[in-house]
Amino acid sequence: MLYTEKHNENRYMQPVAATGAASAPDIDNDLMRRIGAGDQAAFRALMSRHLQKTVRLAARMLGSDGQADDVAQEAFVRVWKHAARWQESEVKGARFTTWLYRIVLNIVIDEKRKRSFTAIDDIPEPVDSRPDAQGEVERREKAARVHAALQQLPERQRAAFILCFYEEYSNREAAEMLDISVKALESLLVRSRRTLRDLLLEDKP
Amino acid sequence: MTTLPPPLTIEAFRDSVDLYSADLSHWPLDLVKPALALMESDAAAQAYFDEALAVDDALRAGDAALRDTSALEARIMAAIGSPAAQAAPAGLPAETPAAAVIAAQAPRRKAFFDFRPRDLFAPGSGLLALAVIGFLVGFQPAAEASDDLGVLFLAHEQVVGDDSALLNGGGL
Repeated sequence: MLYTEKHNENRYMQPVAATGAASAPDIDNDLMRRIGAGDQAAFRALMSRHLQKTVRLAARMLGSDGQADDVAQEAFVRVWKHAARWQESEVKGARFTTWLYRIVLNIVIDEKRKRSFTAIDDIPEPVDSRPDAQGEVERREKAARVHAALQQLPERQRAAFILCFYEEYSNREAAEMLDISVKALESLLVRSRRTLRDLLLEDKP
Repeated sequence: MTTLPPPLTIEAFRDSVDLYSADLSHWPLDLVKPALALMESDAAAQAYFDEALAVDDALRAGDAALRDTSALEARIMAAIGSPAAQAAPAGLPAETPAAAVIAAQAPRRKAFFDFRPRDLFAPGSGLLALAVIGFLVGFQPAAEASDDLGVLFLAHEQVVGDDSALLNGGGL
């Protein structure tokens, strides 16, 4: 699709859910209110909705699947512990995902500071040379190149790029998550994309 | 008379490609037409856009897929001290309208001391089945045994009968 009805505000926005059902933020808000009252079933429901994406965001930021699980766990334990505090954010109109992803990004930054060794999950798996595994080998090589390029970006550039390009948040939402202005986010996006372009085109076989 | 949008410079075009990506549906509407016009007239602009497309494709091709997180879910439930962590049901799918409806209908009341009468159903029915099987299995060998015993009783009566005859002086 070349043209869209809306611009700026809605760019990178996900498609809106079918009408009739409650909106995603409403459901998250309802679940958070119940979690604030100690409702574990609501917590499980909330986790089912957001855990996979949280793990993937952490994995993209860290470049490691193993540590991503730990980060996601820490983030959701904090959600459980501080659910009551969410009520205050809700009044200000923040979305749950904005709050959650801000927690994730803070934990990732802390983890990166602490990390001084190579985790076992970071060691690349040996290449399988069987002919039927050729496609998988190529896919892994591509993934490794992208992964390496992303890891070369400075922290904030990487976060800005991942939130807007992969997670498809609007610039305004991503700026909120990173606690910066939209202008600053756009500057991060331009620089990150230029770096990625240089790295990926330079590596191209 | 319609006013033509101002032409885009190559620098502004590059900035927009790097800001909005090579997907023109993400661009502000007022920039799309000038961008297309520039690409038609300037080979360098077209080449820059094509490179951006290739980079976007590479970034998407090398992206990580969503993976199963049910084990992690159970781990997190255990971490918050949930007694039901080990017997966790399958999680809801990721954020979808259907999942949203299911999530909204998640049980609101906690069970009293985590006891539900239906929890007794599975062990109760298991015990009942075992009792029936035990009764049937136990009954069959007993019948066969009574036949064996009948033979023994006949033999015994015969021996006793013979002894009686002996005592009565019939045999000696």
